[in-house]
Amino acid sequence: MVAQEFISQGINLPLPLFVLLVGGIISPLIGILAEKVGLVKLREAWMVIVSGAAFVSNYMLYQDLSTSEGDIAVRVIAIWGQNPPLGGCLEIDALSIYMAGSVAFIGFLVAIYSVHYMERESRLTEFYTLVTFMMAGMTGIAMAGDFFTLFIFWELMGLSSYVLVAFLKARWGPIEAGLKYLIMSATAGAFLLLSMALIYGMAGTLNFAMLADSLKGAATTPWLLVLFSTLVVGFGVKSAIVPLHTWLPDAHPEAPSPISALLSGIVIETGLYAMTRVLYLLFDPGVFKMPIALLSVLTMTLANVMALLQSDIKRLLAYSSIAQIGYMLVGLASGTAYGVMGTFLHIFNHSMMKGMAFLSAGSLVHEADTRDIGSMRGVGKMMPFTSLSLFIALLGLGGVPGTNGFISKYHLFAAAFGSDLAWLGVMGVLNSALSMAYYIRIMQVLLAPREDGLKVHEAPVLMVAVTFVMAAIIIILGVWPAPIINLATKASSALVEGLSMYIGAVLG
Amino acid sequence: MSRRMAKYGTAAATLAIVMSLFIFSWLTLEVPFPTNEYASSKLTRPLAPEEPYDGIATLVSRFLWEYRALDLTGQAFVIVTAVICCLALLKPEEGAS
Amino acid sequence: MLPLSPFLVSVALMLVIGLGCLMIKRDMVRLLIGVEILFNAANLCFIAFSTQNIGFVDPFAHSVVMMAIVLDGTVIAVGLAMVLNVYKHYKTLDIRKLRRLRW
Repeated sequence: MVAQEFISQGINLPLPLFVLLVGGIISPLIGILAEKVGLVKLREAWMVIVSGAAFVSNYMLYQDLSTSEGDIAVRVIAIWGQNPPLGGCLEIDALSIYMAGSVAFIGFLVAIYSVHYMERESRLTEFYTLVTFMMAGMTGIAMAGDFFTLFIFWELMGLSSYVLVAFLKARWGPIEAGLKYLIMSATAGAFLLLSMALIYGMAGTLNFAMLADSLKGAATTPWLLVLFSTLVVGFGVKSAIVPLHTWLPDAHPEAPSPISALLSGIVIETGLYAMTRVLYLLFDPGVFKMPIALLSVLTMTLANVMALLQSDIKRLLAYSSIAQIGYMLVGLASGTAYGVMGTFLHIFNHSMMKGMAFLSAGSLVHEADTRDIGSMRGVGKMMPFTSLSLFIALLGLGGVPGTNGFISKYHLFAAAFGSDLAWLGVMGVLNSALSMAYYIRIMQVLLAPREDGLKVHEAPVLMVAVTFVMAAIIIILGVWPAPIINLATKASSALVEGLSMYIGAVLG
Repeated sequence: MSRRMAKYGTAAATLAIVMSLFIFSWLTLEVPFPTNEYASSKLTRPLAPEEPYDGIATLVSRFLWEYRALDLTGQAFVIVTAVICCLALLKPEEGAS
Repeated sequence: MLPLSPFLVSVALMLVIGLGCLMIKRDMVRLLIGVEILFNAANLCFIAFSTQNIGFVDPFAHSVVMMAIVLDGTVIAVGLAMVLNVYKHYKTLDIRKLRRLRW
């Protein structure tokens, strides 16, 4: 791979991060303008424009960084001549573009969906501004080259998501869930800061490239184990690993449906991405193989068992998210580039599938006015398009061949078998089969005949159109997965095998 | 039943935390912390001399503005987000916006 | 150069006090103070490591602490706004009354 070091003195290409940040700053002004002038959908239109522009600029960045052989170079961006390792920097490689692209894509789809869903709520200016800032925070985490820059964008993402969970504050549910989420996530932020202090004490710097140069491959002393455990606690609350997941089954149902889709689809995966990046840059895979494998089995099993007992559809989908994080941890524990490729492939696929499941379930809840599965008997026949896309999402989550969920789960478990963690692969397959039980139960209840003559009509066209686009992506990528596997392979090899290029871009 | 589980859970968590305090203290006193052991030789650090104590403040603020401007910009955005968050939480809800 | 062990033991003590405050206290505002204690433990750890060069002080740790104080101040501010909203619904500041969301 050809290393390309590029420290730019300014901004010569609109980064998706700058697009989202500037769009987020202008958004309150657009909101005030919309109230003065009286144009109804101006705020929603601005949000759609900003997220679409972020996706387009991501694609432009991808084209800019691809070399002629088809590899992706690493670019370091530092502002005003303040170079790393002393200054904060953004370091963009293939993995950053992959994650930022996923964030922008699902953000764009959710923005189109929430035009109709949130049209009767108040404080819409704050809503759209906070969603833009949450996406900006996630893009910043994907592109950070310094640990403290990652922490600042981590707090940006977290702060927006606390308030977005508690957004419908007229009811008691969102407020309670938001407070619980805030306290647990703030504690995790303190542990993350503590792990940064320990790293600083050991290595004198917080720059990722210099840490990968000096701290990686060190012998396992007790202090490194302390550092590893504070890192897992710090990142694990946000990515919903099992002993630290208790905020999730309360927060995801109580949030408004587009926010649930964003949270389950990409926020917890960003926590997992940050953990993957830091663990692979700081430690040898042999150090964290066994602990991560044990956490993965615990996460999968407990989440699947708890999901069987739920009667609230959004809470069931929230427990299913925790189980899917368990599957992604299988890929992390394998320690090879192939396993990490499976993890990142599953991150994108899960954002499509779970995002679409939450959006369709949100349409069902919006029309039927209840979240209980038992009271939704027979609604599926009255809302055919929404329930069709929900079925495709549930089949994909269960891993039925023909959907992209099957492809990513196949790669994950094959990686587990291939790196002598065969028991982990077996547990994963068993859990995947177990999860089909509750997915089929939802489908069965939705299609059962209805006794009382309740009539619900179909959701608005824009909401249905978004779910159809996501369903089409799920089926197309299930049958022809080559482009997304190509991207994921480039991303994972940039993390696991391309470390010399990563270090060389900063140290020269 | 859940109150008993909560009581046992609190007791177990308290025990775990006190034990981790003892382990951490033993670890600090027995195994010396590897301070700067993994510092790369390519790292140049602008250290501030500690003798004129009131000079440290100006040197730290100069370091902040000269080397950490990206983080300061990010922090400005976090503060704007926090203001909008508090607005969203404390504004009274009208009927329809 | 100051000895490092007393600093690290006091960081551990502050961690224990912060986590104990989160588990034991009943008032919601005290829970937020517990979170603040945890953040201050991490800041103390940074400052402790900046004194470990003989005769010199590393300004990098001090600048990180200055930014971290602002960040956790914003988190606590949003937390207090949320506690205000909880009080409007539940009419009490007792966290043990917030058990309506079951498993």
